[in-house]
Amino acid sequence: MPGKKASMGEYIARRLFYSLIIAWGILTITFILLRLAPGSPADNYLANIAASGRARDIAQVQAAIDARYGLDKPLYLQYADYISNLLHGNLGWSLSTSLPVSELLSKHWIYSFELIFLSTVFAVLIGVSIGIYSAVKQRTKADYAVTVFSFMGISIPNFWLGIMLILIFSVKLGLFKTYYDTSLPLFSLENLKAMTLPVITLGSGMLAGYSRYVRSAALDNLRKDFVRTARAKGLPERTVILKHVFRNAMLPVITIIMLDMSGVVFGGAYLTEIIFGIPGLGRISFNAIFADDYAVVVAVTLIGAVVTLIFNLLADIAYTYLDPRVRYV
Amino acid sequence: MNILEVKQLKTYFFTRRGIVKAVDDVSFDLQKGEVLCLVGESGSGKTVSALSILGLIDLPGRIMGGEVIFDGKDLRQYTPRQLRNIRGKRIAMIFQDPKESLNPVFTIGVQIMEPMKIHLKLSDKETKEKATSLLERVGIPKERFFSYPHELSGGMNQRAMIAMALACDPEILIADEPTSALDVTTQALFLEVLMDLKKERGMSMIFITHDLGIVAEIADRVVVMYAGRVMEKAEVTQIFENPRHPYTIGLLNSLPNFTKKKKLMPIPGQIPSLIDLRGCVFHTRCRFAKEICAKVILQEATVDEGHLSACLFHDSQEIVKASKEVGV
Repeated sequence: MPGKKASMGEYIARRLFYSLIIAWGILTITFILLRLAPGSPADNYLANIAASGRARDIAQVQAAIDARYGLDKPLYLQYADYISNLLHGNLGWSLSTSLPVSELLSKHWIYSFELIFLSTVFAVLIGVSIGIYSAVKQRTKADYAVTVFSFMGISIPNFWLGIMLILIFSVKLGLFKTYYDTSLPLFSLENLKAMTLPVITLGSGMLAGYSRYVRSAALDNLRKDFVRTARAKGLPERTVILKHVFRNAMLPVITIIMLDMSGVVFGGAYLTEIIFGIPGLGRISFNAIFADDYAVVVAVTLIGAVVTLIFNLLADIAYTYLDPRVRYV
Repeated sequence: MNILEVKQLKTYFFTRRGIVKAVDDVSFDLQKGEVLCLVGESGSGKTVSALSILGLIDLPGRIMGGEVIFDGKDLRQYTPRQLRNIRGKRIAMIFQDPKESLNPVFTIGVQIMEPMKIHLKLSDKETKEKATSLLERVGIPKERFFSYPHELSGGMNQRAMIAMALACDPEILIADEPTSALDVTTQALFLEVLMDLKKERGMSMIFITHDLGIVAEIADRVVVMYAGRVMEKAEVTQIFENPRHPYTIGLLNSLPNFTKKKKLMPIPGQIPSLIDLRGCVFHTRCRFAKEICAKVILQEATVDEGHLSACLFHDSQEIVKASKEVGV
C-alpha cells in the first residue's frame, strides 16, 4: 500500500504533539491542585524543630524555608519557575528526602518497571493461553473452571490478595520474605523469587480480565466463515486456532493490554509496592504526598501521564499493523 | 466412473428444541469430470451435505450415518489426520461469501500458499511462483498477491478463493453457492473462469446453488433437495424437460418465463421445521398431495434410467401433465 508508510511519520508526529499538550495540561492541573491543598512542604520540618525543643521563631524558620524554595512567590511565578526548570531538565528538589527529584526517580523507577513488566508478562502469557484454551473447550468443565477462576481474579481487590498472600505464603508457610529485599541483585533468581508474590498480586486481576477478553474474542472468531475455510484447506486444528483465530482474537485484546499497562498497572502497582515495601515510584509518591513534597508528586504524576500517553499511541500503532483494515487518519 | 459416492448420509443437529435432521438419508454420486448441481431452497440441506463430505460439521451437528466413498474408501472411517490430507489437497471447497471466507488479517498470497505448504513439499520459491501463476490464471494481477481481502472486490476475492482451492490440484471441487454474493455481471465472469479451469484440469465438481439459470448453464446432472432429503436426481435435460417430482415442478414454475408470458407460480408455504417430520417432507406444500403422503416416505423410485424421484405419484397422470406444462 503506497501512502501508508509515508503518512505514518506524520501521524506519529501529530499524535506526539497532542500528547505533549495533554501532558502539559495534566502537569498544570497537578501543580495547582497541590498548592491549593492545605499544608506546606515546610510543615514536617517545622514539626520536627518544634518537637526537638530548639524552638526559635517558627514563623521565621518557615519564612526562611519559603524564601529558599520560592514558596513565598505568587503561584504563577512558582509555576513559571517550575516550567522553566523543567525545560532545562530540572525536575526540582525533594524536600522530604533532600535529594534532587531526578536522582530520586532514577534510583527508584527500576523497581516499578520490574514489577509492572513481570506482572504484565505473567498476566498476558497465562491469561491469553487460558482464554484461548477455554474458548476451544467451550462449555466443558475446564472452561467452567477457567470462568470461575477468572471471576474470582477480577473480583478480588489486589491489596487484599497481597495481604492474604503474605499471610499464607510468608507468615504461615515461610516460603517468602514478608517484605521486598532491595539488597538483592536485580537480575537474579533470588530477586525473581522475591517478586513472585507482588507479581501475582498485581498480575492476577489483569490475567483474569485477559482470559475473559480473549475467550470471548476467540469464540466470536471461531464462528467466522474463514475458520471453516481454514479447516477445508486441510490445516491442522492447531494452525486454525493459533494462526487464524488467534490473530483475529488478539486485535481487541492488544488495545486492552496496552491501556492496562498504563491505567490499571499504575494504580495497582502503587498499592502493590506499598503492601510489599517495594521502593518504586508508587512508594516514593505515596511518601511524598504525605510530606507535601510537591516536586516529587508532580514529577511522578507527569511520568504516569507520559507513560499512559505513550502506551495509548503504541496501542493505536500496533493496531494498524495487526489489523490491515484499520488506517490512521 | 464414480469418483465420489455419498450413501444414505445422515447429518443431524442436536438443538435444545430437538433433533434437526438437516440431512436425512441423502445419496448421490459424482462422476469423474462432471458437474453435479445440488439444488434447493435455503435450508434444504445442500451445504450441510457438502460439509459432511469433508467432515466439516461442527457441534451441535453430527454425522449420524452413511458412507462417503472416495477413491474406494469410506471417508467417514478416516482419522482426523487422514481426513486433513484429503481436505484442500484432493477435495477442495469454496464458499458462499468470499469476503467472510477469507481471513481479514492475512494477505491473499499467504492464504493461497497455505494449503500448498501443508500438502505439497515444494520449496518456498516454488510455492510462491505457483501461487502467483494461479492468481494470474484466475485473472488477478500478480501485484495483488500482497493485498488483503478488504482491498479486493467480491468477485476478485471469490477468484482468489478458487486459486486457493486449486492450489494443490484437487480432483474434486465443491463450490457452495459461490456466486450468491456476487452481482450478475461478476457472476458470469466468475463462472467462465471456474468452468475453464474445471475443463483444463479435468476436475469433477459439486456445485451448490439455488439459481436454476446457473444449473441450466453448467450442470451435467442435478440433485434436487428439500428439507434434508433428495427429491429428484436426473440429468440436467431431464430435470428441465421431464421433472417428475412436484417440488422440482414447483421450482421450475416459480421461474420467470419471458417467452410464454406465464404468471410466476411460487410454491406456497415455507420449508417445514426439520425436527418432527412425518411422511413425505414435501407433502405440506405439495398441490398433488394425497392422504397417504403424510404417512409414507418413498426413498426413491426410478422414472427412467438415471432419473430418480422420491414422489409416490411420479408416474401419475396429474404429475406427468404438470411436468409437460412446465415451460422452460
